[in-house]
Amino acid sequence: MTTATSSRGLNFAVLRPYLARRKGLFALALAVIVAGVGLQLWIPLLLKDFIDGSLAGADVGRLAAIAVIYLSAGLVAQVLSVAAAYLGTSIGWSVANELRLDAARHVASLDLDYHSGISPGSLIERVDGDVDAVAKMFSQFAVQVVSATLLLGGIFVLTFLEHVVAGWTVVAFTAVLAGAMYLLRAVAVSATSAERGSSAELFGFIEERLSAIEDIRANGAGRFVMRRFQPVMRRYYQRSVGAWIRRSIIWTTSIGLFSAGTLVALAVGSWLVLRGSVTLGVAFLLITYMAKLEDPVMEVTDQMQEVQKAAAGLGRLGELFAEQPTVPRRGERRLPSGPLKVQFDHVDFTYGAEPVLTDITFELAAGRHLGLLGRTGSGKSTIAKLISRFYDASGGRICLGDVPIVEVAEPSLRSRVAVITQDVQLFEGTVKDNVTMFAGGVPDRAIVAALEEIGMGIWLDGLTEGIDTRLDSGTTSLSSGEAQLVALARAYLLDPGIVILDEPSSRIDPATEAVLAAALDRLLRNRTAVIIAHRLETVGRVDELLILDGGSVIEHGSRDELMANPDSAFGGLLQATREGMLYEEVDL
Amino acid sequence: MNPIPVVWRISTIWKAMFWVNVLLWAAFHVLPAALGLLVGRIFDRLEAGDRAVVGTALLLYLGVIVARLTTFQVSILAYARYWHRVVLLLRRNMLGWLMEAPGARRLPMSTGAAVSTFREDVDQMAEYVENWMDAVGLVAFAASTLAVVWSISPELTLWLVGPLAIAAITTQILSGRVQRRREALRTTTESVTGFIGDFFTAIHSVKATGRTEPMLERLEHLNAGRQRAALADTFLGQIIRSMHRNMAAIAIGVVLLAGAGAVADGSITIGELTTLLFYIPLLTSYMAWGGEMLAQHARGRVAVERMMRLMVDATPAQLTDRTPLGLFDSTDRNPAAPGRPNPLMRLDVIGLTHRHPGSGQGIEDVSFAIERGSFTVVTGRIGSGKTTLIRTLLGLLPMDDGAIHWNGQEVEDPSTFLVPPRSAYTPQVPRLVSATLRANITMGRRLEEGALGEAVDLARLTRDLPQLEAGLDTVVGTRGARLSGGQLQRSAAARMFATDADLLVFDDLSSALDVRTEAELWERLFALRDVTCLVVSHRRPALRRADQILLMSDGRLADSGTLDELLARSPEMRALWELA
Repeated sequence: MTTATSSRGLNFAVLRPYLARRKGLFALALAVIVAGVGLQLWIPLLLKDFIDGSLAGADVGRLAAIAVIYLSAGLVAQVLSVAAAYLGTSIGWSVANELRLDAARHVASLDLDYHSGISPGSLIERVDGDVDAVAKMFSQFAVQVVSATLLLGGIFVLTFLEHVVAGWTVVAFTAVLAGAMYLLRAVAVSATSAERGSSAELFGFIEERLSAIEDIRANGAGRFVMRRFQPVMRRYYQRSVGAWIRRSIIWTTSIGLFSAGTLVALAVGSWLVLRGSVTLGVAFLLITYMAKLEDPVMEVTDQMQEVQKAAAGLGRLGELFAEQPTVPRRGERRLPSGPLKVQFDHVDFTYGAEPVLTDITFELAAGRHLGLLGRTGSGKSTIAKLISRFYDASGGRICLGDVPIVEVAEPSLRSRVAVITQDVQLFEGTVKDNVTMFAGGVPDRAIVAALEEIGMGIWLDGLTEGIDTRLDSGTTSLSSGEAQLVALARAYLLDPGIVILDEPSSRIDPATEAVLAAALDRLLRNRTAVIIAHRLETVGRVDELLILDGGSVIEHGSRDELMANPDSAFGGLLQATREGMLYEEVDL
Repeated sequence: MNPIPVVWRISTIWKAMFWVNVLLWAAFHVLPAALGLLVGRIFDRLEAGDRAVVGTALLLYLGVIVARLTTFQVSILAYARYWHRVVLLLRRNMLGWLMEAPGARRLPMSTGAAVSTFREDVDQMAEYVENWMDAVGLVAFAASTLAVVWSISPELTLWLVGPLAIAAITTQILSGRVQRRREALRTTTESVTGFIGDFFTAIHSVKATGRTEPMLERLEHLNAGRQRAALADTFLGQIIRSMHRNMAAIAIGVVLLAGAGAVADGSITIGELTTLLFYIPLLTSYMAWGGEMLAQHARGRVAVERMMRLMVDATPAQLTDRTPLGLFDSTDRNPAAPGRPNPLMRLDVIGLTHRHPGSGQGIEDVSFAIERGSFTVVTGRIGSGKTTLIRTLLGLLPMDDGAIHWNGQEVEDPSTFLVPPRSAYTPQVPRLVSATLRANITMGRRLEEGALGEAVDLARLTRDLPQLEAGLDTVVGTRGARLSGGQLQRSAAARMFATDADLLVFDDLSSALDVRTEAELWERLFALRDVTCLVVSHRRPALRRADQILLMSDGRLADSGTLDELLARSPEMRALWELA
């Protein structure tokens, strides 16, 4: 339901404000670079003077003075090169972090539909991988390309000043180097992807076997695993060795080219000296400058590859930022305190062109508990999402506590309507972080009280550091039942007027289920509740039932009345259960 | 743990290959020394205007370059083969040990961390081996160039030692830090990406509770930590880089200063000066590299320690086990199926104890016996130790006390003894691998189609097959992700039935099968086969059928007996029965 306007090509607009905010830093980095490049160009000139001076019979004092200047310039150059790199990285990271935060904020604001259509893994790719590639690229690219260009330009100018043939030699060699690097890029890319493919298979195999280690060992399949590993190793060996050898073409070529560069400089320098056109010092200068071409040429070609990667990332980020949430956030009214009444007044909801809910009208008095029943796709969860305003109705009106839901301010809605989802995600952090979801300003006492209220008091007492004990992510240290309890504690902390509960459909052992049921009873006391029921037992907890079929209400009434009436749809369900259709089989 | 003996053992496995590599790299590193001499010669003769000698020297220079390139290319060919053998040997040995070695074998770390040991620590170790090869070339280069410098001027050689030593020592010290900084960068990066993943996985509840802003603040906090780590890492890295590149400038400055007099009075010729200027950058970067090699030693130590930690109780000899890798031998050696000596008559578990390291919780002093053909159900509340009991029995968790007797004989290592054809196991959350369903069920055993069909049928998996695109030949996706939770467990049950083991151990089938189907499964299983079952369950059909129920409570065996006995005397059992 979110609209995406896909952008083609490079879209620097995304990045411009982040870079513009750092004009001062960029200027400083530029100054450091210019100074550093200047020194790098000047230092070889000192050597030239030293050599020519010694040949011209200069005195020791003058030679020693050159040496002292040389030494100090070398030290300053060290400091400048570290400073330039540090500044570049620092700019890159701060841009990346700011962009990442904004991207995360934007993604979080998008509809749930967007999230259900995209895996968290690919969001990590966007919000982490693409952001990094883009931000670092454009901040470091600036720093490196500027310094490389300055250095190259400087070398050209200085060698031309010495002798025109020397100048042309350097320019021609740079062109050859750049051309070769450009051609070799394709080799590098294919070698890298071959290598990645072969190691992906190897480590994929290992990773899966390690996570299945108990299954494998307890079923005596270790020998068979090792047998299957054989062909995997063989393929890895062949492909990786092949990739290395292909990559060695690049290494050999670049080593060859740089050695050739020295040789060319040596030959051209010798020729010029023998013709009497330049001094020996200039010949040495030519060799030194030729060797200095290596780094800038390599850097620029490396950066060209990064640019391509970043351009792709930039395109994807542009698309990400073009996604817009469909539910406007404009209400200003606050919901009243205490339990809230829920009213649906001729509510329709269409998803795309498909009607999901048609003409839903019901009223749930404050403090009453409603069970939603119906098959998968009957619209139960849509009703829940309308009450928590993850969607807006296409027609009709929804009121909470007599306030139309579209007029309610977002913070008021979020603190008064609690949603407990089926799957509970725990975070890497402390118990406290997990209950508050990192919100600051919640007193420890309130957190402990919430945990005690939902029956986790004993569990909490067993923890060495109380609510500051760290939990591992991935539910390793909490069972799924306990994770559910944490979700109840989260809701408890909000003190909501309405609780929407999507009951977990996975099985929890009976004893924990009893604890959960008790905790839920305490949470729901004196609150309005809407429960998406997956099991008939849950129905025992509610006052009213609403049975949906194909997006329409087929039955709504008090549980006791419906139960007593064998002709009701609910009565039919109940009958089926008694006849031995087991509850797991009934798709409620 | 000292990594040198490990390198030594590795070097003896493919001995010839190792030494060929050493010699080739040594040649590659030493050749530039000749180039420096040639440059000096050229400059000396240029001063004299000697065209012929300059021309010859230039040709010789070309010859040395070509020789060096050829050496390089040949070295790479040799080294690519050597490197990949070393990394595969280490990986094969670690995986083999984890999969097959006796003893309770749980990963001592998360799967992710274990994979990174397989990946990075092994690479680190191979780099360390490479270091030892390069060390020879490095020493040869340093010795030959310093000899030349000495012949030019012993005094200047001494002046050079200072900057060179500084380059080596600082790089060594800083490189050690680099490793720690890099580690910090890696963990902070993981915490950022992990958090982003968790954040968006939980997006529904985050939005519903209006906690988006706190979550973003948390992200900002993690971001800042990562930035600090990254900057610290870059700063150090740049200093080392500048050691490699710019230390030369300082060394040259020192030599010029010290040698100014000698150059002025002509006791050092212009050619000798150029040779020095040619050597010094090479020497400083080689020295910095040498410093890094020394730092590598610390990294090699960490890598060996991590690999040994992953292998828990193995010795370094097992890490470097020299069984051939079979890289060029594609014959498929199918391990012989073991016979079935000593079929189960009676299993005695005496005082079985396992305490979780850390919390100290676990199971304490659990004793029971299982007769052939019987049906034993383990039940109890969550956290009462049901799964721990089963896993300790099967040797998946270490047994801290107690004994297991198979037909009256003590089992020394349950982890390698209680496997097919003696026993088989279906865990609560089974793991499949990304292969076909058939391969997952047979686990690589040769199995007749009839036996496979029976296993599939028994596990009630038959009705799932038409829903899968290619039936038994459907590829189940990474870790079986393309199957539903129930299908996953039914496949694991089929995998267990396919082993035709005497003792079948199930950890809770309730998410795979509904109550009625589960009851049918037990009926058919006992009708078809002569099996013994040990089952974790809290469901009535299983409890009703049980010959004995083991009622676990707080890690102890609270009571055992038939359902009627327990219902009569145990309030805990009555409570569980009511809830079932």
